[in-house]
Amino acid sequence: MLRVSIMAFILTVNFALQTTLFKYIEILGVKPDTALVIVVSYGILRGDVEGALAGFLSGLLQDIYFGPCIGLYALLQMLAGYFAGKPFKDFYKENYLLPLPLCAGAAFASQCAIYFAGFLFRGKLDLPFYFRMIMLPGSVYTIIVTIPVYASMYWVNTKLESAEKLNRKLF
Amino acid sequence: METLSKHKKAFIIGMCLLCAVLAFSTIRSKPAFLADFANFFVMPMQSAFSEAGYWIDDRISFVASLEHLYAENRELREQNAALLEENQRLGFMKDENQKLSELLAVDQLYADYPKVGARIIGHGVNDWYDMYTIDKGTNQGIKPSMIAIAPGGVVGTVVECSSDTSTIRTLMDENLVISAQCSRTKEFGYVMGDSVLMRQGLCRMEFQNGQNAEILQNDTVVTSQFSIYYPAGVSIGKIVDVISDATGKYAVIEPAVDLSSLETLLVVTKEFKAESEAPTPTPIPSPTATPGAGSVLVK
Repeated sequence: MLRVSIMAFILTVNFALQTTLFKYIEILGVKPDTALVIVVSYGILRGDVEGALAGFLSGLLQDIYFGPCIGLYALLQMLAGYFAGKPFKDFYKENYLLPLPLCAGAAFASQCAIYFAGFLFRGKLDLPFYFRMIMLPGSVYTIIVTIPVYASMYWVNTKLESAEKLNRKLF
Repeated sequence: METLSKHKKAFIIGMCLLCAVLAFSTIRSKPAFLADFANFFVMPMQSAFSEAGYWIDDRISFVASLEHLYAENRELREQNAALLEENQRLGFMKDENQKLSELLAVDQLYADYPKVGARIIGHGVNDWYDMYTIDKGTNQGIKPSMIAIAPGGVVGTVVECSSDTSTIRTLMDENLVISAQCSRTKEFGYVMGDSVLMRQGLCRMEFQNGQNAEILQNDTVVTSQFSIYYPAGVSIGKIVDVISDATGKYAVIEPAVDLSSLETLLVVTKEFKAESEAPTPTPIPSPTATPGAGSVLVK
C-alpha cells in the first residue's frame, strides 16, 4: 500500500512538473519525457508486472488531460514498463548504464507510435523530417535525463524495500 | 501481486484489451468525471508550479530588460503620442460610423461578447501537439468548441472541459482548422496547424482558389463570416510567406498573439453554432443596392 501511494505521488508530481516548468527547459522545441523514464526505471527495478501497472497509471494521467481518447498513452507506457521489466532477473540493478539503452528504445518506440497513430494516416509522409526534428532530439533529451531519474528511483526503491522488510512476517 | 506474476501473459493481454476497449468507448468524448477526479490531485500542484514559473520568468525578464528600459521608454513615448493622435481621429470616425450604421440599420458586427478570463496552468506533455490546460471549466460557463482569444487575436478552441479545467487546442496544433479570409482581397480559406511550422511558432493557410488565390506578404488574415464556431473578423495573424509547391499554394501565417509567452487568455462564453442555424434577423444591405453610390441597381 505504501509502495502504491508513493508511486502514485511520484507520477502525479512528475506530471504536474512536465506540464508546467518543463517548458522552460525546452531545447529545439522538445522536452524530455520523464514519465517514460520513471516507468522504465520502475520496470527494471521491480519486474514486468509492476512496471506495466506503473506505466498504465502514468499513461492514464496523460490521456485524461491531453490524449485523443482514454487508453492510447496508457497502452504505450504500459508496454514500455512491461518490456523494461523483462530482463529483471538478468541484470544488476546497481548498474546505472543499463537503463540507457532501454530508455532510448522506449522513447524512440513511443515517438514512432505517436507518429503512426496521429500523423501517418493523415497523409503526413515526411518521415525523415519528423525523425530529424522531433523523434531524434526528443529521444536524445530523454536519454540525458535518464541517469539522474534512474538514480533517484533506485534510491526510492531501496528505501521502500527496507521499509517493507520491517513489516514482513516471517512465519 | 503473486497471482498476477504467475499469469503474466494473461495479465498483459488483458490489460491491452482493456486499453483498446477504453479507447474505442471514449474516442468521441472522454468522461468528465475522470478529469474531475484527477484535478483534485493534479490541479493544486499545476497551479503552484506554473505560478512559480511565471514569477521566475518575470524576474529574469525584468533583470534582462533593465538596460534596454531607457531606449524602450523613449520609443514608447513617441509611439504613445502617435497613438493618442490616432485615437482622437478614430473617436470621430467611430461617432460617424455609429451615425451611418443607424441610418443603414446595420447591427453592430463586433458586439461585446461575454468573456471569461483564465490562466494557463499546464502545457501538453508531448512535442507533437500544442495544447494548454486552463483553470476554468464548466462551472464558469465554458463548453467545448468555444473560442479562446487574447489581446491581438485568436488563440484556439476549447476541446474538452471538466468542472474546473479545460483543454485548449492552439492555432499551431495539427488538429485545429479554422475557416478564415484574407482581409484585403476577401480570399477565403482555412488556417491550420502544422507540426513542421509549429517549431518556428507559425501556422499555414490554404485557399479555396488554390493556385489562383490573390495573396501577398503582410496581408492580414481574419476569421471568416462562414465559420460556425468563430465570430467573424477576429484577427488571426499576418502572411509572412507565400509558398507554391507540387501540392498547391499555401501561405505561412504568423499568429497575431505571441503564443510562446502567453500566461492568460479569454474564452468567449457564447456559442456561435446555435446562432448561425437561426435565421438572421436583419440582412446586411449589399453595396450595389445602396442609393447614391453611383452604382446601377441590379434587378
